[in-house]
Amino acid sequence: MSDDLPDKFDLIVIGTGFPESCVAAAASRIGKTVLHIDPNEYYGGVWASFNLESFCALLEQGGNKELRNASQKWHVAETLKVAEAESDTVAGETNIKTDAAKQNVLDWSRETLLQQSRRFNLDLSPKILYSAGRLVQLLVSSNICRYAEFRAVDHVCTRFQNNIINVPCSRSDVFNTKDLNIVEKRLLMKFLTLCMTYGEDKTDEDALQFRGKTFREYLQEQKVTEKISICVMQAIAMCNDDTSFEEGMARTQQFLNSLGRYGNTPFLFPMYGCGEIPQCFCRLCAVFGGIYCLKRQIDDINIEADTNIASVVLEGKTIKAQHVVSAPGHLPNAFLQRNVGVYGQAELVNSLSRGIFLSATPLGSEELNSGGGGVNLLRLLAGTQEAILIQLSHFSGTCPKGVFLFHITTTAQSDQPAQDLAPFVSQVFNPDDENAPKLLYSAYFTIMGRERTSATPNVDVSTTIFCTSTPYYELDYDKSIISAREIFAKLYADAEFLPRAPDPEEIVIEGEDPRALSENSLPDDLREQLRELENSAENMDIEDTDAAQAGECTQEDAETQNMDAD
Amino acid sequence: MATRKKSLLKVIILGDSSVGKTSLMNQYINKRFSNQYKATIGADFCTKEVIADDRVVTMQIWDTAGQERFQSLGVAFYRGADCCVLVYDVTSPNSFKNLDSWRDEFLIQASPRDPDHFPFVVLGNKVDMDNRQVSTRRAQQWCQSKNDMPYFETSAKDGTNVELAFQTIARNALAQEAEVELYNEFPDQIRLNTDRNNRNGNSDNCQC
Repeated sequence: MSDDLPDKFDLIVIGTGFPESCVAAAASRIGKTVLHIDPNEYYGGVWASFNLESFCALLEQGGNKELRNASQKWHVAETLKVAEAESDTVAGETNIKTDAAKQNVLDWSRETLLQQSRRFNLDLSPKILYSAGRLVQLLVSSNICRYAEFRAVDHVCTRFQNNIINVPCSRSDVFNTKDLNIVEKRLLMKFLTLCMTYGEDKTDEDALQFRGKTFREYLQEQKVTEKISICVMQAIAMCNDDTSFEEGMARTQQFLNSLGRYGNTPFLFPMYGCGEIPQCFCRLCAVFGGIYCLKRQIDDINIEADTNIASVVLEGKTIKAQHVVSAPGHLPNAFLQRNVGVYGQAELVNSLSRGIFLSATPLGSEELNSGGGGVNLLRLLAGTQEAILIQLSHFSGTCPKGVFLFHITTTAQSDQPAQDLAPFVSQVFNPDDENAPKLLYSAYFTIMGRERTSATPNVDVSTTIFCTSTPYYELDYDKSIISAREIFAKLYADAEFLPRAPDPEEIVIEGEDPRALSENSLPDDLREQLRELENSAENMDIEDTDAAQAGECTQEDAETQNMDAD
Repeated sequence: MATRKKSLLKVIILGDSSVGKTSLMNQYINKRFSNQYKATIGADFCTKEVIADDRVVTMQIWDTAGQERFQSLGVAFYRGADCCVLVYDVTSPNSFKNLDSWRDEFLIQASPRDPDHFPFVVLGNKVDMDNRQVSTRRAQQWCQSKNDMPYFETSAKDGTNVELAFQTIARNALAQEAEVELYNEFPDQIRLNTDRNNRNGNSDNCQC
């Protein structure tokens, strides 16, 4: 099959993870010829989602270069029949105290869960998107958003005195919540309004006064209660005690700016899991002519000394390319061995410890999971460490009805992910707490990070081969997008990164040449016109948002007055 | 909420490379045909308003974007399909033989709720060519053996049966959708570019 491939490309991309797919799409979009290869038989690499069966198989075989230290455990019996016969032992083992919970757990066995294997989409690198964040903006501006659907995150939660409480996001949330008293509601609204207008004249004094201080100190100065402080620190600004005032303020604003766009919270989750996202970028790349080959091994890469052109050996066939972009784990061994010292394997840092848990019951109160269960976000703290917990229900298309999927992610402290995650896991799946979700299945693994050190230069010191970055510890995709853009800028210095792709109905077919389907072949003046139209359309959006915000502020004032009257 | 009518039908076209998937789409949407073969570039999806069973629906027909060429279609492509069109080339027995695996691939990847009744439509394309190798009878027999899938012999070049085939596709997709509506699996899905619609629908931020 490789014989059908052209023997020359502008760019060969190895690995179909998020950053590789971003670069591939961007290059193809500006008319470069792209060959996109993945040694795996699936898209996404370490950014992929798996059904339950393939996920278990991946862990069973001990993972791969990018996923290590894998372990998994079934907390339910092999089959339902056995479960009933041995219900006493099962109950004893898992400390089930209430009959209802017992029943829920007994509804499932390893067999019944695996029967629904394809209803699962288990993310190796789960993410949550800010509605006005970098990825959403990129998806909209590039028009890649037409390939994906999303679900609004239902609740943003935080732990307060061993309870999981809902952090009110919308105005109606604030007024309806039972978790805050009237004074707290007022304080929270006042504080958030203050943050909204930060940067305008009102808080200029604060800006000066708190420069160099922490966000926590600023919060204390605002005289908010402990509960409000926790809501803001943990869930809204998501910062630590030593986060600077400016950073905390910027994060609070990011949260607030993403409010009111889609659902009830400022966050979105991709339907069917985050593994869809790289595939959306790949589709755009393919639509603009990129060629896709999964399940292909790269044997070697050679670089011609005088021209800097890469020769990639793909299953015996040599293909030339101006540039190669590769996920760190996919550079061929032969190449790495030959280039020790120059391309020496960089030290492994920035790894992530991951846990995936299945349960028959959700986390937190009925209210947090109304209507069959919410897609909820919870940031956990343990000492100086933090972790992100994402609860997914079947509404997200990542697990069957009646099952809840939990992702916990933290920065790796060791090569034992279970140990790294233990302080967080015990907070939410405490077997002694009868309200805690009862586990059906749990799995731990490490997502290997890789970053250059000064001693061993990374491969991107060359002008031909560029290495992408592994998933960062971050909620959204910001850092990954920035690093993909950096690579793109090194490849094509002056080119635009993912300009808007035309909708099918905007494409005018001229003659019978399929090449006319590309916007790139539009005459410059037409292209310019299109840009102008787009820009003016974007400006309209902005005005709209401004108007909406202005409206909100007035309402807010009115509310504050009402409350004062109380 | 669960009974909200979906006015958008997603139809995906599968089959070996160069059986004429993109050409069929182009013939149906633009009434055009190009003899110049080029592995699909620029073809994404086409939308067309159709009237089926007295309802106006938007049919969105998704091309493979060439990703089938080296067996590299990702699962994302199959999500939420309301109908699957299987295309083979009547002059290529291999492309006919492969329909079986395309059908299986679809059922595995898309994992529809009710695989036995999921609407497939089979098209034998290039009937204008004179070196035909797969007989009508053989194709019909195979379609009958697979829950009686509707079968059409088409020519993307001269337009034979193209309109008729796509009408059937729309009708069957619509019938499928009527059943799915009863248990809409994923209500409240958000599409990013239809920003405004979502805002009007779900947000409770302005009513307090």
